[in-house]
Amino acid sequence: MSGFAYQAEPIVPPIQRLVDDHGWLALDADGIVRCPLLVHGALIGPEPITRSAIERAFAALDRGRGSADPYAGYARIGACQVLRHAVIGGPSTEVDAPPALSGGSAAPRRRKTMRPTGRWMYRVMPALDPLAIPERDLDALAELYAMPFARVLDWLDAVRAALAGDPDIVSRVRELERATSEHPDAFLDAAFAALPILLDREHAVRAVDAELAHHGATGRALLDGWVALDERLQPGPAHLVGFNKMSDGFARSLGTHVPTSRAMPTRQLHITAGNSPLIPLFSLLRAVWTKSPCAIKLPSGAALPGALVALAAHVAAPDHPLTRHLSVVYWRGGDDELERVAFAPGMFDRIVVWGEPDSVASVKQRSRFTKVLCFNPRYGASMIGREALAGDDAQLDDVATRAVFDTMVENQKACIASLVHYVEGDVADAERYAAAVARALAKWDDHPHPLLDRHRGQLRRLERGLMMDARVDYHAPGGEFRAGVVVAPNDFAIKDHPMCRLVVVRPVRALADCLGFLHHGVATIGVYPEDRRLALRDRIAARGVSNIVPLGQSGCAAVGMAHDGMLVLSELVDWKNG
Amino acid sequence: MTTWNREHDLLLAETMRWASGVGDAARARELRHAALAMNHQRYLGRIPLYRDLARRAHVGPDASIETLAATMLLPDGIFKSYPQSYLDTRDFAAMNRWLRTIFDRDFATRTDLATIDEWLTALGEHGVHAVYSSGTSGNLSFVPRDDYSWALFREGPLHYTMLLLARLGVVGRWKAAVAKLAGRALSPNRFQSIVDRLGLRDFDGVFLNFRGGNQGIQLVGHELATKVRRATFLYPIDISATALRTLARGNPNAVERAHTEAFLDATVRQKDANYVRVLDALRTAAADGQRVLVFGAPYLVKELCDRIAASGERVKLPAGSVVGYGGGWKSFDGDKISEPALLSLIERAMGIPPEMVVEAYSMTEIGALMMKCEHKRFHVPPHLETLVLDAALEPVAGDDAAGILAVMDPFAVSYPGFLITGDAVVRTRRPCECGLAGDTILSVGRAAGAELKGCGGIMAAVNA
Repeated sequence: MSGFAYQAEPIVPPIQRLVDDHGWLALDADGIVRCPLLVHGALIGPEPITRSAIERAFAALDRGRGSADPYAGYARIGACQVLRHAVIGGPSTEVDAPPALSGGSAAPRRRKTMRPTGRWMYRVMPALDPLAIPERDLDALAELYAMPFARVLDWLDAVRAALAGDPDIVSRVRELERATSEHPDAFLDAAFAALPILLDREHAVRAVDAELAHHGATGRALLDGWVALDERLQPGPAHLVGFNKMSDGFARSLGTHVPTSRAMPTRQLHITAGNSPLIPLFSLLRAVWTKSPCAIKLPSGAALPGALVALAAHVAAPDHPLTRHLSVVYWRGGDDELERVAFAPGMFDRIVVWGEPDSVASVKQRSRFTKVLCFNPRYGASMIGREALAGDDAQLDDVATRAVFDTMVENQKACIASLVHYVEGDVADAERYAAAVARALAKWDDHPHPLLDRHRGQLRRLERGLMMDARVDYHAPGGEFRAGVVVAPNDFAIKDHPMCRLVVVRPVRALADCLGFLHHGVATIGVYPEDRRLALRDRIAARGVSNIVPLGQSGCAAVGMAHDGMLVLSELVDWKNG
Repeated sequence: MTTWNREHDLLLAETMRWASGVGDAARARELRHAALAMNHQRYLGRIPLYRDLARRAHVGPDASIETLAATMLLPDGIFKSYPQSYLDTRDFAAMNRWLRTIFDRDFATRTDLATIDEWLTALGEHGVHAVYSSGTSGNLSFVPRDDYSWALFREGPLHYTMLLLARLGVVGRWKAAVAKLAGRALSPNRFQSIVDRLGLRDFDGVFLNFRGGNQGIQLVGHELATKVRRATFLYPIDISATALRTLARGNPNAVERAHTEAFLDATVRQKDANYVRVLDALRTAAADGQRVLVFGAPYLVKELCDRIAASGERVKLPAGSVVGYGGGWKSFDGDKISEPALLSLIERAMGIPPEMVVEAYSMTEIGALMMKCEHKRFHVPPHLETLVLDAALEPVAGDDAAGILAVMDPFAVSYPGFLITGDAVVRTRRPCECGLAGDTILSVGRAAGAELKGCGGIMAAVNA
């Protein structure tokens, strides 16, 4: 014994050690956060850059900016890409939300207000070599394609464990994301809390088996190899016409060959959107579950959660084929240098694009020789039968509360969030229902949300006559808009909806009258009561609506459900016959 | 000839002096604000939508211009705030009720009408001139003017545009000198009678327009056509609102289908023949040494030049010929070329030098024409109050401001003329080297969010 008391070195978890060694994912005194990107499993950090260089670049971009124009959000400076985000929120405060509901170790810090502080945060990432992103050596993918699905589960376990073992880094990323996030704090916290659930192995098994099951075979079996089908081959016309030209052996083989099928992985590019922080992760998981090499293009508004998972993959499973064929990257949408390569024929087998209509249209137009899956902008609505108004206010409040849950999906930013509540009744009925909706919305006041200038502008336009005969009622305690209800006796242009916690209540003579307003742009309809939903659901579905659900359940999901009318995993694999 | 109200007569006289180079900005402002205050009181008393908003905003009849600018600017969307279902079901009684909410008097039309065109005609018979413009979504805007506002809309800009054209050298030197004197000395009515008599009689006009109909930019062409010696229209029919809406939204009845077929026949199927006729008119004028005024939207001017080029023989129009265009590229954005490229194309095709090409900026909702000078600024006539707003619709201060354009138009008498437009502009109050005083607009584009947010695209056409 030396006589010295042994003092153990604090054990620093590996992700934290890695980022701290490189100075990544930490806010420095200049408001800069350096973010690595993952290219085929290798982490690439940004080169050093100074605040003054960043400010000079943005000053040049801001020159000539109009008062109604947004500030420039992106600059390419040398070998760096810089995203500029406004820091949102007043003084933060610790709240009593349990860590289990927020992800990470520390209690989340909820923002008291959601106003811009006037400060900027700069996220610096490395510039990319366009040719480095696609997987062009197809033979190098053989190991990944041949790998059993069980190894997908190993990868999920490893990444999940890495994140669980490093709660401080999860908390740190969450707080960095919060500083500029336009999502209400509780929604952001919920997204981080969902990470372990989404990375769960059971989730993967059920999703793959549900979406890729075929001819009685499980999705996993079809992903892992050629599965014999319980079918007989039918001869084609040439065989019928030329039967007398066949040898006996050839003719016999037609009857004895057992057809097989396989769900082949594909090289995937996912261009993700930021209206939910989880979208990049959803996309990444779909690629992982299908054993597919992929590049995830992060959205500018929610880059950090995706980067965190990429870090975890690099740390926890660096040699795993999935990691070695995974890229988590960023470039500015529309960057011709990058996209000319990415959208060229043969670079990817699938391109998945989420987002704004212009982005979706642009990608589709420029990648005509690659199969493109589009998650177009859509919206949701609610259909409230007259039964809701037949009872007392308590019953009506319950219905309105359910409908508001449908409105509050991702704080009304999701493509399934309800923007319009159709009420079966007259204007007086709609007014009564609207009052209940206003009460239900007011209960969400404890989740403040930011209002962008364009939201304020659109709310003013609505107040000033944009909808004929509409009664506009904004809930603005202390002069700060929290929610709004507009009773619109007539149809209105959906593009006039500001999508900032505002419900348009539309009286209709009969629920069936709503059918005229439905089309493929409507993702989800929540209906009350249930027997009316069952009676109308086929007619609603026939008009292009993807989800016809009980009121209040628009935001719910089940493993293996279709998304925008597609079994997405089935679209992401290439179905082969043998 | 219309007798102008005193406030408008004074303002028109001031616009003439401004265009003649002797404007008094302070006086113009005083006259403008007085007219706007009168309009506010008129709107309060007569226009239901405006009255309702004023009540909610606690704005009384004596509110200051600053208060009105802060609280009573209405979105230009009020001119298409009617439910599309009204037109889908041809419910023109309901359309009348809607129009009344933004108009200053009661009116009634027949309601057994089959098409929008019939409705517009019926409105006209009752002294309601509904000028319309069409968006890509097929949602038509209707701006209702009474006889008086209609006259101001059609004739008001002539008081200063003729003088501005003279400044640009479009008319001969002696005429320009006379015009300058006239602009300073004559009353608006006297000046207008001279314009009516002499006007552009030295010119043949080629209008890349429809012959008639109440659609935005077409009306400028119609008005100019009455002033030239001989007018040739690209489309020798009236533009049909029925057809425009049907083409964008579909689902026509038999009458609408017939309108649309006639429209397509005259425009698309007869396009080659139409251009042959226009090119003949240009070549005849060139052979006769007759000066020509060519007017249209920029994409049509480009198309005309392309047709001339494709014919293999350029048209050398006589010196003094003019090309005028305005209205932007709209849905023909894919054909858009830069201004220098367009000017060069015009010169190559028709021999008209850049200094004889005139661009103007306006919109259906206002009674003003902003002409671009040789220093590439659109000049705001002094009767029009301009404001620049940020995205939250808060006014932006300063001599140089960029943002959403709002206007307060004293010539909008029968409908609310305090408007937030869908255009983003850069406006400066710094003097222009051309010598013309007042506000100028350096650039115009669509305001961010004018085609809004996540649900733009196909959603632009969707009602709920």
